[in-house]
Amino acid sequence: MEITKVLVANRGEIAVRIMTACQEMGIATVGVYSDVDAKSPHVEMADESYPLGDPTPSASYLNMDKLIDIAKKTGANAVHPGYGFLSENSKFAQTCADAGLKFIGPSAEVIDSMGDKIAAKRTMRKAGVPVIPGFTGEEKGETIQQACERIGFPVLIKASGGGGGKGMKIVHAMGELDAAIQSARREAKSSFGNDELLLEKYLAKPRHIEFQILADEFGNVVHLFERECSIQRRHQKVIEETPSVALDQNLRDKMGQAAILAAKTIGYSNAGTVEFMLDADKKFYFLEMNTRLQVEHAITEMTTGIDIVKWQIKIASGEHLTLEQEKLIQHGHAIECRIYAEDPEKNFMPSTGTLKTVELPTGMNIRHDTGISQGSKISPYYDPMLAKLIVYGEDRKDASRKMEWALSNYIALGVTTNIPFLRAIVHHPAFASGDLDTHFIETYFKSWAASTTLPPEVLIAAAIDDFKHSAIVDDSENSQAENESHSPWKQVGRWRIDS
Amino acid sequence: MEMQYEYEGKMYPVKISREGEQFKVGVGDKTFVVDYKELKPGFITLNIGGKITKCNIATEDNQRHIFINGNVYRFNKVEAGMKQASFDKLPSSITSPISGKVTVVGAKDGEIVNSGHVILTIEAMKMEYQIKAPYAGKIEKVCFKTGDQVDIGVLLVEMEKEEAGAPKKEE
Repeated sequence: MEITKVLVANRGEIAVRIMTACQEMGIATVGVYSDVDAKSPHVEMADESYPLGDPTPSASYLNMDKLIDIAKKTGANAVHPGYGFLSENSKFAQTCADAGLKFIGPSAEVIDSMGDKIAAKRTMRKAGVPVIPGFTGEEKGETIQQACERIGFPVLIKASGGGGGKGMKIVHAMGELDAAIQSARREAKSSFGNDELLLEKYLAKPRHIEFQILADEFGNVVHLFERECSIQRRHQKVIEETPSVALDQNLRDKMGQAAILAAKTIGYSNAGTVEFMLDADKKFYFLEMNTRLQVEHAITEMTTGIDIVKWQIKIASGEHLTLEQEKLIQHGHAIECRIYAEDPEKNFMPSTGTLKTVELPTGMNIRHDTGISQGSKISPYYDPMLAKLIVYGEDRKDASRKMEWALSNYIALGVTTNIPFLRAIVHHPAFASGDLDTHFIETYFKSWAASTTLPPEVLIAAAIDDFKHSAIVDDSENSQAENESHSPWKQVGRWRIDS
Repeated sequence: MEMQYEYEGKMYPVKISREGEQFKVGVGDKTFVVDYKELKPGFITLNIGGKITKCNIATEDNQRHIFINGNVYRFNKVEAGMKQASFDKLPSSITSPISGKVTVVGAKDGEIVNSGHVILTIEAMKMEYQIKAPYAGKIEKVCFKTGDQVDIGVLLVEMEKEEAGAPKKEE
């Protein structure tokens, strides 16, 4: 089936990213937006855009009826869900299929098989993919409390229905368990509409290593190597890189084969990511499979030269995968930093407001995936990620230095961002040495704070700016001074007075 | 001309005068002679004794956001006469650090709570934020109920600090 027009059922940077790929391929695009996003770049980027109304996610970007209706009215023949929102919703995939729209992603059955994290682990364990010890609800007659005693604290509570850190809690002792379960259920319910939870052993010093895979609709699967996403806050990724310093070629091959096995086991098609935890002894465990495009896909694109979004569309059109595993190679090193509207000094509390000034660093091998612009209002309705900054270098050191430079020149004023915090991480000796694990931020940046004193340059800049603005007011109030401002005598007079 | 800025609870007086194309700026006990160039609105460069500093300024009422060397400083310009009023914090009130929706109310008006007691849970951007009692004391008034939308900075809870004899927490 030839894809001719794609409705992008998403917002922000990922909507822009997908529309760019479509336009490069000569495919028409349809954008959608909620009331608060009416002036967002993705709205203007699309060939045509339609309102979804009320910004509440359930009324807008999660509203299947509205989305399908717009797709049909505009004559789109495919839907790209991006990430988040409806991207891992099997009902949406099925609704699209029923409406004669190609869902750019795997089938509803496949999403279902991995969407339920409990069933996913069961499937993977059976297929021979290593899985972390835990509680999936299938253990006969066992309560969550009993499971905690069996596995041993600390344990991690997760939402069965989704990822992204939503609904996740670490529990260190039995006394914290009930409160954590209740909070996790509420978050899971509001994010995924499903409050089922699962539990697993919380590993000490684990790394988060994931493999990007591409699978066509004829059973061919390749992996595009790993991404290390160990630097996280609140179980959400902050900095990702590829390749990982923790993997040698032997381990990379083994994990890559496990990822392909996982995909083949469930008959996967389209782009997907198999996530693993790698412990200090270099043992790896299947964590979950993300049946969609990932936020951090760009670093894989930078080091392989492969456009993952275009492959998603080609696969969905029924094309065969022409990439061969043996011929795939990675060059250099890529790092991504997620620019969040949040305050690292206040427990990463999201910040809202208007972006008054945005000026992005440019240069060789610096990539920006962004869906914001100067004047953008950051509302509390959606994820606080503003943009992604991706750099490529000849090696890890080169890429790190480039990232630090780019962050130092990344101007986003008006909303508190995590940029100074990201820069501090990239600058840290533990980052430089590659000594990463998912507790990195807790370990090294627990009570991080930006400088609490103002350098004189800041005060000088503020004072001059305020002086100039007050001077304008004075001039306009005194018409005589304005009339005489070109008089040479006045200028000479000023020199005399001030010196 | 003299200006006052406030950052992290500290006051910074700055003296400034124009000297031809240059500015003479006094910060603390130092005086700087500064060449100033505005590239476009908000984008300026300072030349202080040959050292170039690029900075960006965004202004919002009395608030100044300044970007220098990769850091962003957010502080206030203090106008004469408002110095005291704006920095007197009400110790008996808790304001919202975030805009979002109240999902749980964990205390009633008149209730005596321990320090750290979760009074409200606010959901924003799909994450939960717990508003905890900063000290042991009596809840005078919880200003919102479950389902209410709250804006950043609004008064959430009025509380009276318990000086002594606060109830002990049971584990």
